Amino acid sequence: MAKVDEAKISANALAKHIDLITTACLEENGQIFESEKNKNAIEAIIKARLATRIDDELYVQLNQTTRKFIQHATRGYRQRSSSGEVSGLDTRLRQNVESYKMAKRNASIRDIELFSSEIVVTVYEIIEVLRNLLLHFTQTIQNDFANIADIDLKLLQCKNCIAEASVLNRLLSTMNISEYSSLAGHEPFLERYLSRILMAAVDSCTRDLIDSTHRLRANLARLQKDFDDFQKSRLIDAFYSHYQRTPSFLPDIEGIESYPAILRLSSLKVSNRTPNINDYDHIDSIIAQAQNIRSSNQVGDEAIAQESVHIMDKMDAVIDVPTDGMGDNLKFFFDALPILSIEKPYSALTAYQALDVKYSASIWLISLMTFYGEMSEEEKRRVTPSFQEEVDPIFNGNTVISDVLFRYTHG
Amino acid sequence: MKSFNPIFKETIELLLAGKVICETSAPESFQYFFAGEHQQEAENYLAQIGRSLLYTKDQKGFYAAINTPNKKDLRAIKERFREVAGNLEGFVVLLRMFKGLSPSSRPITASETIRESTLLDAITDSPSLQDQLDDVIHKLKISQKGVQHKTKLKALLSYLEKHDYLKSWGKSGITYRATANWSLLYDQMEFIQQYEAIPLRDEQANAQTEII
Repeated sequence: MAKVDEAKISANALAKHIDLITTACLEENGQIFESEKNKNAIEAIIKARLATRIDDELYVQLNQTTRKFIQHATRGYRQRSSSGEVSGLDTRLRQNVESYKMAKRNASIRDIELFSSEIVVTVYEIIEVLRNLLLHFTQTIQNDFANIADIDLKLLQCKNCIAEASVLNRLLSTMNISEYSSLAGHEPFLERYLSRILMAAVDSCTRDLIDSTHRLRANLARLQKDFDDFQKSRLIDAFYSHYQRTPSFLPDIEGIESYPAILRLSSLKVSNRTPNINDYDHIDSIIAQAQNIRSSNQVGDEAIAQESVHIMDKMDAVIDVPTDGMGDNLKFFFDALPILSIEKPYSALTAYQALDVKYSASIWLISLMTFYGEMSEEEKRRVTPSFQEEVDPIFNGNTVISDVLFRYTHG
Repeated sequence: MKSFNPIFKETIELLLAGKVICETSAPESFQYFFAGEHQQEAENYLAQIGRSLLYTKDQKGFYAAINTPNKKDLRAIKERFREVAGNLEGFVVLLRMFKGLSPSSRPITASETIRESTLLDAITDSPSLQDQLDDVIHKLKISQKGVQHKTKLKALLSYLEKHDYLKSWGKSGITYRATANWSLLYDQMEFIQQYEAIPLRDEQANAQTEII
């Protein structure tokens, strides 16, 4: 527990003497001048390793870490007070300019000297405050939020910084050259300090701020990309681990109540495309289509054909053939098979052409085999399919079924 | 009355066919959408036929979604999901492989350039990547005859091009660009992760800490 105790001593000292430490950081450049009043506080701060005593000096120096922490913690305040400070200084500058002009009109040498010196001091104060404000952004960009570990917090900080930069930019835009030029008039002293020195500093700060904002935006884009990549990586790893743990995992959304938009992709053409029998990737679609055709035509099996065509069988008999659906065609084929295959097995492709089947030959063959597969064992004993096969030129080692010959065995 | 606009027609047809439009997959359509009020026009048109125009989460691609699916639509949606689910393990292995192939271990994203020669060099030098390539080929059921890494890689890249994840870029035929189909895949994976409650790394770590 020693480390916790040690940390507690520092934290307690920091909390107990926060007023003294904050004032020293923000107003005294991190120095605390010793007095009877703050003697005990200084001892506690040194004991907590927040400050160091400098030999032969009348003050103790707050450590860099302490100063950085206070500067980080009071960033918002400093930002607001700096903006307010600029605004206050600007008001003071305008008042001094008016007083200077009046002193000039009255030819009061003493007052001219007094207000000219006030103007010089105020101009340089404004410049210093503006440069300090800019320094904050420069430092932020330079350290690249290195003190923050979480990438999402870095993102947030970067966004906050950009928002602060916009506030500062608005402030700088209020300090425009035409306003200061008209305030200075043709008075050489005022022209020098308002139109040249102050405006040069404002211009320089504006350029730096714009540059800083660009870099902040570039940082933001990079951080956003890092963040997106991190999330994608995490997602990939999560799935990989999941598959390692559960090799049979297959996402299932059967129970879902409403499909999210990412799954509701329009598919007007996709669902109607003709699968390629030569492409293994289409096998699921081919099977699905064959099954759909079978199921959608089960009701239609009872329907009576509206049109007929004539085909000649080997016995030269003329048979009326229904043509309105796959189910009817399949049923007719197997019903006619005892006659068609009396002499030799009957070709499925010959029937395909004769029946003018609306679907592709591949679908016809698969549908025939599906129909055959669903026959009773008794029927199957009578019907014997045999395949005409060729070596598949695309899929090495596979064969392509070019036709199926069906024979019906009587008796 | 508005005159015939071939780019508008092509864009709408692509959207209705379920394609993800991005600056790689359909540059003309993509540019067209960002000019003037064309996007609004397309949204209005799609709304009339019960579709909405949606962006992938990373804003790199857009696609049309069915607003209120009927029975036929639901069948198509389920079929498409089965396809995604059936290939998901293969794609997860593939995404890990691409991460391994990236110099900064970044996951593949839309508009990224893929060079066959760079991939081949990396795979040739790494037995681990070779195993991953074999695994991907096997899990995605990609047909290929050769045993060489080059043949396998070519087969994989052809597969990805055929399924709109990559588009051949330039005239060499060996450089590709990733499309926003990857963005959609990530979005779908995120949905599946949430729906199936697959723990992410932080959640796993938390769960382990709790167990300890």
